[in-house]
Amino acid sequence: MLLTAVEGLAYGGLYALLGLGFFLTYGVLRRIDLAYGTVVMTSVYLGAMMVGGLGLPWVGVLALTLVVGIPLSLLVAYLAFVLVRQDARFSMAATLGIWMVLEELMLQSPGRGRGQAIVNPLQDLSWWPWGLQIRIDHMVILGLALAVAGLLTRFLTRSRTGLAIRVSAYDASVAALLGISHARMMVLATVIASAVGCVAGWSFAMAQSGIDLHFGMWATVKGLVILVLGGTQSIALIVTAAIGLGVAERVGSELIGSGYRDLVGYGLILALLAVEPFLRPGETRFGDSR
Amino acid sequence: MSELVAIIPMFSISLVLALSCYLVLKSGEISFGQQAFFGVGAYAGGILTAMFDWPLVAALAVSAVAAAAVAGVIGFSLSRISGFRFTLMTLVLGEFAKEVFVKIEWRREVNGQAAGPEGPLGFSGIEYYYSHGIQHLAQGLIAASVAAGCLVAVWVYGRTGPGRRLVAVASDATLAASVSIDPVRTRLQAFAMAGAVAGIGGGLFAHQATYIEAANFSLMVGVHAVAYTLLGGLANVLGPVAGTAFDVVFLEGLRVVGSYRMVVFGSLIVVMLILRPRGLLGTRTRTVP
Repeated sequence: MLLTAVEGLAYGGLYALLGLGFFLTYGVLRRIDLAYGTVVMTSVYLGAMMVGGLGLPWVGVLALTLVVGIPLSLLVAYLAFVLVRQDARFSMAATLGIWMVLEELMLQSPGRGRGQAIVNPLQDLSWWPWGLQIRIDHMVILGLALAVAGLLTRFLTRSRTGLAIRVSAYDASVAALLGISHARMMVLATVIASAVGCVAGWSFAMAQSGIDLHFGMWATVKGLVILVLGGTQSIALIVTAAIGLGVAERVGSELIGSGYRDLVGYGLILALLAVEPFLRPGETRFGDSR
Repeated sequence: MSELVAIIPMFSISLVLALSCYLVLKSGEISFGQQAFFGVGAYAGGILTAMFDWPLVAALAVSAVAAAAVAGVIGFSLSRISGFRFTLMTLVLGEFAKEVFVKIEWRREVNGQAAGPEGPLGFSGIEYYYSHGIQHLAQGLIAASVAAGCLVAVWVYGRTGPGRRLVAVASDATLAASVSIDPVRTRLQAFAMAGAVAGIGGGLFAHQATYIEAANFSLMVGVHAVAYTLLGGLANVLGPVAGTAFDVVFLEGLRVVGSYRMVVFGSLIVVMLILRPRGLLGTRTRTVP
């Protein structure tokens, strides 16, 4: 059970990275990007395909993922959040269309949507404290998530650029009065959110020794759920919620059987979402995210 | 001709699901979970005809009631939230329902053979049409008639008190409440009706497909239905018809873009939202001088 909980910590680290990407996208930029997970999946998928095809070293997957992922995220942001000028729902619907396009393009790519293998150089390395086998790559992922969370917190709260992003996302006209370029800040925040997502996708693919098309939707759903559990006010709460979810899912599946893991997981989240309006009616009723 | 006959049931079933999404979109929200009610209707209808030998009409009626009941229960919470939380809750609902469908296992002996859903193996043997000698053309007519019935019901709903109140709530819930419209109740009615419509679509689908499994009710199914409605526009009930026809008849039926159908369809949604956000049949916004 203890070992399962430790494994859950690693998944919590992955969830935290995804949650941080969504925190930047929704919590800071106020955008609901349903293509986020698919963009990450596409980037990692193409990165893995190119590395496999060209015979590059394993670290090339991360580099190529970032090279593909960041411009792709900027394109999605431009199409769905700049060119679509209606309210947030229309932008969200546009990300839906982009999601369909990307997923289908991966199916039509030379990889034909089949899983792409990724070399995990840390796969066979383990640490044995008190007789427990703890995979080094899992700990690296957790450490990476905590480091990214720390850096993001510091950047958004202590740096002038981070503050400028927050002001710009809150009110573009106020930002303009302060001499802040709204467009530049939005691009910068999109790049950071994309980079965090790419690192999350790459970490996940490494831990699983591969990636397939299901990752896109899975990442989007998990990221959004963590956002709801952790809220949009604090990075620390996002990380706590993500790690809590990772551990709860792993331990839960150990207790009730892996066949029921998703059923129980989605059931709990649904119950939480269903009960929330009755617990905090003023915060959720007819006023969120418009 | 044979292609047309083959495409009618597919178009009709997709249209019924799109009409369900249309009702929710009329409330000002986007639901990615209508496939859950579609699935409830499919399993309910399939169980009644395959396991208990019910007539199709009665099975479809129960499909509608069962899906409306589920929508009504979840609607207690859904009708109190909006925006991102609403969309997320429907998305999670869809995924949860899919997991539930995987677990449905109920076998019963019918005419010396076991019938009923087999959990992850799906639910086969929903052969009402074949056991009653209903041919392809008749199947298409049944599906088209049911879809037309749903279309009329949704149109009537929009022209009467509940539909008008729903539009008022979608425009401004606080203002609507100030003129004695209960936003929660109005939305709850709309969700229950949307659930019923999706349930009927599911019932039709189960009998058309003869075999259903959880994968038939994936998120992508719900996403498509929303996309049809957005593509056609929300101005009136013909919007979902136009959106569904464009994808099912033009892209899928005529196969004009081959295997790149989803690329074209997805791109078209984005282009439409940029150039014509009110959809193919949407009205222009009038500016009061």
